[in-house]
Amino acid sequence: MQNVIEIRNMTKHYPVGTGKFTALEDINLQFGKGEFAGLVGPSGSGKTTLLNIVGTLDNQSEGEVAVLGNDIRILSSRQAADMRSEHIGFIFQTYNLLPHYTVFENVEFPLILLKYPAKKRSDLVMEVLEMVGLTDKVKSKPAKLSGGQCQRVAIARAMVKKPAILLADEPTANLDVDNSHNILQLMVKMNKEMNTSFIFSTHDEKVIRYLRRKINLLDGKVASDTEQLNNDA
Amino acid sequence: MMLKLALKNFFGAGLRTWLNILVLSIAFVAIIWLQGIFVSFSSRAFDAMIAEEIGGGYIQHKEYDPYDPTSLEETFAPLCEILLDIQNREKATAMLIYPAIAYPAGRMHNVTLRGIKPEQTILELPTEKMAADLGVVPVMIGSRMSRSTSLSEGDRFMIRWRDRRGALDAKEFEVAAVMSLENQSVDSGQIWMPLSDLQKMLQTDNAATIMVLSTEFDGQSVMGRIADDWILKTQYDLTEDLRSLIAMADIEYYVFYIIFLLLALISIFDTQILALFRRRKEMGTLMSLGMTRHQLIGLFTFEGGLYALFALLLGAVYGTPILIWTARNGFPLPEGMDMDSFGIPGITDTIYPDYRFSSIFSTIILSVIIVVIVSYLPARRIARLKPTDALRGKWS
Repeated sequence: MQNVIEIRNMTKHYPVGTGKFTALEDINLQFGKGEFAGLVGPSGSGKTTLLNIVGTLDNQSEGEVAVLGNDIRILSSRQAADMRSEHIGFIFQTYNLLPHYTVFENVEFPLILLKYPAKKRSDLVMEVLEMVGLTDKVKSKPAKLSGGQCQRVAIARAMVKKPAILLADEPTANLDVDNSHNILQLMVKMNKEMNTSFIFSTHDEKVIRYLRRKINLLDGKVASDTEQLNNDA
Repeated sequence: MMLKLALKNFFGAGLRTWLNILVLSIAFVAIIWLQGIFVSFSSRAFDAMIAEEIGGGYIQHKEYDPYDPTSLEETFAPLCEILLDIQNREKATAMLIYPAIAYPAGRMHNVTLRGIKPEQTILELPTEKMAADLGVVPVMIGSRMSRSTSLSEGDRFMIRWRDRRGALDAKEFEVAAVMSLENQSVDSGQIWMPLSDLQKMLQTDNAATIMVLSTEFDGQSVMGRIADDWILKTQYDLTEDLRSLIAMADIEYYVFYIIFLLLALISIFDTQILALFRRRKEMGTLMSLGMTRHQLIGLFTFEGGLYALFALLLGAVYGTPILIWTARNGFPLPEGMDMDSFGIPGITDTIYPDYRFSSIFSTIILSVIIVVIVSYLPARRIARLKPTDALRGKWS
């Protein structure tokens, strides 16, 4: 399997007062194309930090991280932004939708950044909204949507540009059981149809059941990295 | 994309946006109105001074000092042929200036007599009214002089002066006209009379203190051909004091300008600062979607610029009729207020603001630039913002 992310001997420190706190230590991981993997562990284990680093939102302190063959440490701020814009989608626990935009405009936004023509944007937005089942909400503002609907908009926004990598940080933390399953089934479907690599950060058992690969993080270190064959995916 | 996003955020802020726009628009209209008044002050002051006092400049007796009345008894000389010639060609008019004491209603007033030809056309004064045959010497005074001496048209009064041999002489005069003058310096303490009568009183045929030149005549053309007793004072030389005065008034204008603009800018600065703190998570989201820091700075600056744009539009809607109305109808000075007390000539009882396209345009451009800078300054902080901190609602 072709690797989209390669992490070698990666460590991340944060300055704390005059000392430093080690959030991640000696991480070695590879993620292949089309993976459906999860970083699992308690709060403070380094899941979100790792997700931010592979999402080029943050930099490692030591070691090497290559995303789609690019060493993220040498990427300029602009190049990192371009990488996120073209190849990486994000889903957040709190949805992070643009409040003044409609559902259609929220989903369209990444395509505007990519300077797609209007017709192509419209077609792609409607296609992805069809997949997440929100074609009847195109003109609604986020404030008028339920939590599950907001998260589906966030998924549509992340997937509309057909990214190589989708990073989801606790995507079901604010959702009830039914909505969580609906969202996860939607993501499994998209993973299969678009061959996008999904990487989750979670400690939610509902999510873990769906993962094909489970990476346990404990105190900033990889405690285990296992394939899961019998799951709902 | 930036425009659409900025507009969405701009109008999405609701009432706060409209309050800021209203405050900024009031500041813009007030600045333009104030500027109209100051332009009016300066232009009317110059116009009045040129029309009623200095014309195109003076060829004056070299010792003449308008600020030293005691010297006036010595600072005149007979006009040479060349000066008489330019007067005959209506390129200049002679004026003899002499100190005296007037006794209207038995009270004593130090005055300056100004002898000028009744038929002159160089200064915009109704001197032809002094051509009337009243049986005594006809004189004219300004309305301020009329008020201070209680003299009215038709009133007779005594003037006493010292002739060239030092002997005191006196004569009765009649007010032929009370002039409405804009320029205080040719009004207060000034009595205008026919040049020939003043020359007779002083027994100085053809003598004058100054030659007031026509605005079309170049005084330099005769200099060098006339006696050394005479020097040229150009219009520029003679308006030097007024220009200094207007420069002082300009400083006052800029103080008001800064106060008005500051009031508006504080509200924008405050809004921008609040937005930066309140919208950190949104910034983080936009960064995660692929926006660069520079694009974000541009977005926030652009949103600030929109305040200026919409304030201009709103200000144009209600400000244009207000400004046009004030320009046409003016507004009267408050009762008892006299602009002379500020040393500003040209303003009588009503102020007519003078709005000029160039000054309105430059004011608008300058104000918009300042608004954009004020919007940009807080937005610069975004350059130091880490996406991960922004997503957590923190500043780096």
